[in-house]
Amino acid sequence: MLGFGRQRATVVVTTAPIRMNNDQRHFFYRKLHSLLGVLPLGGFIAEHFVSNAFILGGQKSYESAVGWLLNMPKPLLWTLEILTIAAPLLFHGVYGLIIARQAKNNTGNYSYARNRNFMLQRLTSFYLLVFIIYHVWSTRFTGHFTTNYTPDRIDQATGLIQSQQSIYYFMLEKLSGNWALGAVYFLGVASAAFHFGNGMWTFCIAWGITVGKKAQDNARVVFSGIGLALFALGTATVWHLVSTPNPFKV
Amino acid sequence: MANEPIKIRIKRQPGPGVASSWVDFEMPYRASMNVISCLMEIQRNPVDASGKPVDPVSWDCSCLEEVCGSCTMVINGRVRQSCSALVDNIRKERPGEPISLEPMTKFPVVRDLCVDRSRMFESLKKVKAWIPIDGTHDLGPGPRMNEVDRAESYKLSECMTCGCCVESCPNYNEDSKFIGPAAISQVVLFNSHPTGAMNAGERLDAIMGEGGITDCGNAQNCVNVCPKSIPLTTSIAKASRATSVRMITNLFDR
Repeated sequence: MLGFGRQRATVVVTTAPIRMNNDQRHFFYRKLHSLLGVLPLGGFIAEHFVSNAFILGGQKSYESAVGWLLNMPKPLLWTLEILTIAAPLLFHGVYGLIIARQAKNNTGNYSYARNRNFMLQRLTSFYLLVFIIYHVWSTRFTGHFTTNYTPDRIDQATGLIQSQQSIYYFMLEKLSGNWALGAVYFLGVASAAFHFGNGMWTFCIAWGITVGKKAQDNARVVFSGIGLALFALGTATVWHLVSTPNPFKV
Repeated sequence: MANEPIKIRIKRQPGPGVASSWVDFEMPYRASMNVISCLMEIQRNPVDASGKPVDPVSWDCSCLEEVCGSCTMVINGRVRQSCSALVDNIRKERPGEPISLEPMTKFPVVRDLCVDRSRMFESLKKVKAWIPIDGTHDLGPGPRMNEVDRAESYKLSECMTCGCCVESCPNYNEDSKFIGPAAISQVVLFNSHPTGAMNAGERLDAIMGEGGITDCGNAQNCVNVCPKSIPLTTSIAKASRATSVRMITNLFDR
């Protein structure tokens, strides 16, 4: 430096903007894992629970609620599915397992509610990973898109339409009277609602949104409420499908 | 129960890296005893509960008034200082059972209840938990601090690096490089000091990597076990905010 006066700021010019060392990569992955949990995954799970709750209004209500998704041009649907669900879920799930493995849970000696929720966040993630693989495989990759129904039979008593196009009928056939699968779905709904609510709460700390104790307590009330609402919606949806008789069952 | 003999079960380990075993001790009750005075009793008469002579039990202690942190150990399964653990109180936690004493589990054992807390010191060095003011000429008086900030900082400055927060933290263990709540709180303390803030970026950089701020999982045991009631979770959230902002501004500023 030549100047005797003000010290000149050093300007670092990097040729590759996305070249990270180990520490930067670790920080970036953790932040990405946290962010993806909220957007798009948290947004998707809320949409998924709300849309599916239209099942409570019966076949017409459900099919008009999810029709925009089913009628979407396929390339657009696939792009959305990959970008907003599959890819984020894969990263969040796999990297989340690495994070969960690091914890040595100690709720026996330190049985605080927060510590138990910390453990539950990890336990629900294990269940969700297995459940979501089954759920996606059985609804997206097999079933509705490959099953052959007798086209357009109408049950006079219920007005229920059995057809290749009916996603309501597809879900009903899967879950109607099947209490064991209903329990699997109930656990999935409960795990997802908890993981979402607790995850939103920790997200607010991890990004420095809720700093003080009071703010964190208030956020707990808000996200417990949203989590419980999702849990109630999901449970009602599963209950409806399991308890509604399938008139076409032979 | 009040005047019954005091029964203590201590997890003993003769040296680093060797197997540990539980040894029972018994001593007559005296009023107002704490765990340290019990250990001193064993030191005076080193025999186990069956009367067999044993090596005196090793432990660390210094201030005896819960400000130095050196006598921290796991008492009845919970980490705390043995000087402020009063026998009359801790006997009620597990009625009928002996008081259990163990070394902290997150640090290498030196002998019996003595552990090596170097990892915490290394974390303080990593985050530069000091204010560099040494120079060759007089730098003059530092800037003044407003009273509200001073009061908040004072609370953070009470940290004695005792190890309670990291002992209770599920994410602080031999498999993780997490520096723990104490060191993160020191980043907030020194970054909030008007002179310390001149090196704020360096301290934030130190916690924006493996073992840093993102390795906190918000189990929040730290704030529940801290003997000085330091708002560690608020410090963690403040450091989270500062590092999140730094990450985003770094994207656009460089």
